Amino acid sequence: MPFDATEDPDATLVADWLDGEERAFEQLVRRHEGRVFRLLYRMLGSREEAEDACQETFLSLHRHGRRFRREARFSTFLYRVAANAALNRRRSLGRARARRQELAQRQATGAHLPVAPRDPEDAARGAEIQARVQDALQTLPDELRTAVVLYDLEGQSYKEIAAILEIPEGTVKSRIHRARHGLRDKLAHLHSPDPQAPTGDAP
Amino acid sequence: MSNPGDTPRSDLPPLEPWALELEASEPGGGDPRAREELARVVSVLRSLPEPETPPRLGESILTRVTEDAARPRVLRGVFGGPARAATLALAAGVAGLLVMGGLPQTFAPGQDSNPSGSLVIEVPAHALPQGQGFAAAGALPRTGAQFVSLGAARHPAARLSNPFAGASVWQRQMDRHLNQLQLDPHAFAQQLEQAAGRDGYIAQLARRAGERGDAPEIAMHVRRSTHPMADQIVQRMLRASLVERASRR
Repeated sequence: MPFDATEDPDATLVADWLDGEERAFEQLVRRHEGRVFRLLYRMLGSREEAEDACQETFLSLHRHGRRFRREARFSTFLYRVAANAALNRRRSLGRARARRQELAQRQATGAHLPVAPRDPEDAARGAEIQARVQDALQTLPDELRTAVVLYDLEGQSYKEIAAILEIPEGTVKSRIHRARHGLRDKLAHLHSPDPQAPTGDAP
Repeated sequence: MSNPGDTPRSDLPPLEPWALELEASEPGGGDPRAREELARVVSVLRSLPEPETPPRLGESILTRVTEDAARPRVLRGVFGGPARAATLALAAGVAGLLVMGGLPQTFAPGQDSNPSGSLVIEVPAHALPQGQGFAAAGALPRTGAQFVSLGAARHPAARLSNPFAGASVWQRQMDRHLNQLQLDPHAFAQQLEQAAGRDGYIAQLARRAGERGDAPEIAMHVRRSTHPMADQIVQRMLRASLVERASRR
């Protein structure tokens, strides 16, 4: 089904901006900065990196906004720009591999591991656990992390994610599934009854 | 991930049908405990609190965008993003050559300049007519001056501070330019006439002056100038003032 531009809540602001009204761009920034930042933080695992990438995202949007063809929601286009900014950043800095190695080493040695709470809801509320989940997210391959962040953390639909990543919806589901599997393995030790028990897989 | 003796929990979010299908196709995927483990992962992910957005994120974004829009777009178009150090170095070198080759007026940062060190008319990318961007490099110095600088004003009022503390980055930039327009309307108009998209920018400046309430005063200053563009600016200012007054009624 073709996209109906009138369904886009940002349509008016985008039109004003593309007509040269800079204030409309400012409003778009204010409206979306938080969501873009959250996505980038989940993707990059660092507030500083996320803030930089957020600036780059809107900079890129401002430069290349005229490429927005209104074939999808503006937010979809923006998320695509943000996801690409995050992926480019990771690739260019080569941090993913270094971080994976560091985390794998920590998990293998069990160094600095917290005592694992048994209840997942309590665990999720604990700052330590949040950090662990965030770390586990960072160990996923980029394409899996992007899919699971957009779906389980950002609440995007398969259709939106498919549009953002420019892949079929079936691939979106498959990536989410694989990501969840990966996280289950990485977080296995969180729910171990014995804090001294083996800490899950150690790649 | 599961504990021995655990029974499947009912307070976990149910997995989606497609997830159940995919899980069933995994080795040992029919195990209810495996499904529960996945459901726990989903539960943990969805219960993560949202990270707090940095307090001045929007400001920093807009500052960077404004700075970027003020850079020569030819260089950005040819050499790509600003984050690349090599690009920056190359762009700086080329910009230096262009300046030496005769930009209309170069920076004159000095004791009288504003806090940013120079007085610059920064016409934003979107104020320029569509299709003018990324022109041939040779067009930059003479005909497509998107980055036009004024000599530092010698008038003490060049140190005018922005009285509109709550204004956005974009508004503050326009306020600076309105100050310059009042200080030396002729010089400002001279520089502005070389900028692509000037008509749109004048309209935006006038609208801003109308909002501030000093459009008639600015028009009075500009009227002193004999520059051909002065009349256009005056008309815009007066019209903006009328529009603003009418909208307040």
